[in-house]
Amino acid sequence: MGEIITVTVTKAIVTTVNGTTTTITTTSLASLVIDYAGASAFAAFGWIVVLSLLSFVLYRWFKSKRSS
Amino acid sequence: MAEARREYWATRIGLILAMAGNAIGLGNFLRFPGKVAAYGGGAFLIPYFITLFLLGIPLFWLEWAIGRYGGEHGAHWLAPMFYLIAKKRFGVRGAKIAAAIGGGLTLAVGIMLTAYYTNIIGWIAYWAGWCISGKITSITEVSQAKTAFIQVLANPVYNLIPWIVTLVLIAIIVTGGIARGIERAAKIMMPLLFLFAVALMIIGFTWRTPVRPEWDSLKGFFWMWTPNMAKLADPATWLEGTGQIFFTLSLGIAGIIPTYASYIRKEEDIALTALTTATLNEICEVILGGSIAFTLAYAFGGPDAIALVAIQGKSPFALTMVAYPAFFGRIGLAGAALGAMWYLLLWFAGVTSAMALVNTVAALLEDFGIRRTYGSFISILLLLAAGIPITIEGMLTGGETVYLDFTDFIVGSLLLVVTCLIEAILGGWFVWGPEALEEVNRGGYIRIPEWVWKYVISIIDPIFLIAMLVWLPMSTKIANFLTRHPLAPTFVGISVTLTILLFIIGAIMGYKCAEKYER
Repeated sequence: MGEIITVTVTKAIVTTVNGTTTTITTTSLASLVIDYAGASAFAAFGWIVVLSLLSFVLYRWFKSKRSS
Repeated sequence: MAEARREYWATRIGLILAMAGNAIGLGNFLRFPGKVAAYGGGAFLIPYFITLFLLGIPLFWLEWAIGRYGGEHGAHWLAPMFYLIAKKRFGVRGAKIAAAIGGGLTLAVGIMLTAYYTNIIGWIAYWAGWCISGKITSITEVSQAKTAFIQVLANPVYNLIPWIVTLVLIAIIVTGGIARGIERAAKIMMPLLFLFAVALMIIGFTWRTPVRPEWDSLKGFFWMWTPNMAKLADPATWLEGTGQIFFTLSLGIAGIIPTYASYIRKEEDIALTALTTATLNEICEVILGGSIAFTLAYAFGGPDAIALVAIQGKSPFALTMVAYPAFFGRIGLAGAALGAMWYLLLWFAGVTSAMALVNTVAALLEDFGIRRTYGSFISILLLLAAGIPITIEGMLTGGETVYLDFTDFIVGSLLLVVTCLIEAILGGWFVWGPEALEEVNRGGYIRIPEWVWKYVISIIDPIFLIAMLVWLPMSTKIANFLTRHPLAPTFVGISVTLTILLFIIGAIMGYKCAEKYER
């Protein structure tokens, strides 16, 4: 459930703001990996935590409106 | 006691939007995705959420409580607030020392941080102008964008004009006061910010291959969230996770939350309102911020854009300044429209945060009899003085930013943790005591349990904050700054001198101001 993104060597020579250049090695290319299942699980985890917080907050606002 | 200025937030929604506007800044849309990508992908959320619930939200409540309590006694900035909460336990002399520390931190962090922060907003305004005018379509290569950006850094005209325009606009908003100035501006800017952010997220997820079929935007999204669990064993991940929470909630930043909270009425809810503000901030960070930067970067820049971050260690901020303009320019007018949304979103996020910082300095000056109108513009002059080394460094070095980065490290990573530590000690169970809990729960739509104050804020948080200060790799970081270019030590020296000078002036002001609250 993953993918390694390939970057062509010529295009992987990147220039910094300072004007210096860095050549991306084949070893560092391997770091551009995508783990779809893991990424989906963690992104969903983040969304669920935040949306749960939102649900709690909205619930308490509605409850306070009704009681007042 | 000082004469109480009876200025309040006009509406609850205005208060929430202004407070959220203060919290939601560049950190949500640029800093957060960069930290996620650099520190373990999705795994970064583990230290991030632990810190949010253990430190972030409790300290957020504490800052709101300190602020409203101060406001009830006519205090609208951190120094007199520290004095008021420390007086019972430490006596007048001890409380005056607390006020001096609060004053020093307010002025040093407030001016130094706002100076570079508004400078960055100026650069964003510059690119927004390119997009709105359609001129962005003339940029199609990253090298062209880079050249144009270096011109901004190196040419004082391009650097100063967008910055000064932004500062004057902020001063005009702050001059209008809380309800008529800040609240009104927040009510306009924040809905637009949310609208643009949601639109960009939807575009990122649906317009998946605008440039090349293999450059699928979702790959950028999934790449950012790809977990690297090994990173959890690195203390830097935990430090960065904690630092992000402080930055995103504006905790410890010159007492801007206490200052905003000082304009809340005595019997109004703060417990649920504060939690709502934190929640809006998290939506903007985890959901929107976590879905835009790399999604667009991959769709328009492909693997090269990601390589800049993954291999060169560039931040999404750098991408925004030197790569995105080319991505937007490549697709013509549609790109100009997309770019306008992106840069305006960032500009709104930056301005709503910066106006909270300028308001704090204006509130400080008001305590010394300087009217808000004058105080706002004096703040702007101070910001120009503290920010001008950024322009000078850019001119002399052809675009280097050591002064900015070093100042960000000192005030944005170090001093805000120090401020929170002092707040947690003074506002905790052993100094301010049960009164603090009463303050936060008065009029509350939710009740914050005693254990949050007794154990989390008073024991766990100070230990956590001290550990952060101990682990902060000070010497390594400073050594890195000093060696970036031959003039780097000079600009580091200027930053240190200005920060110390402002701290001393602020400390004297804090000490003097405390005398007014002695009775």
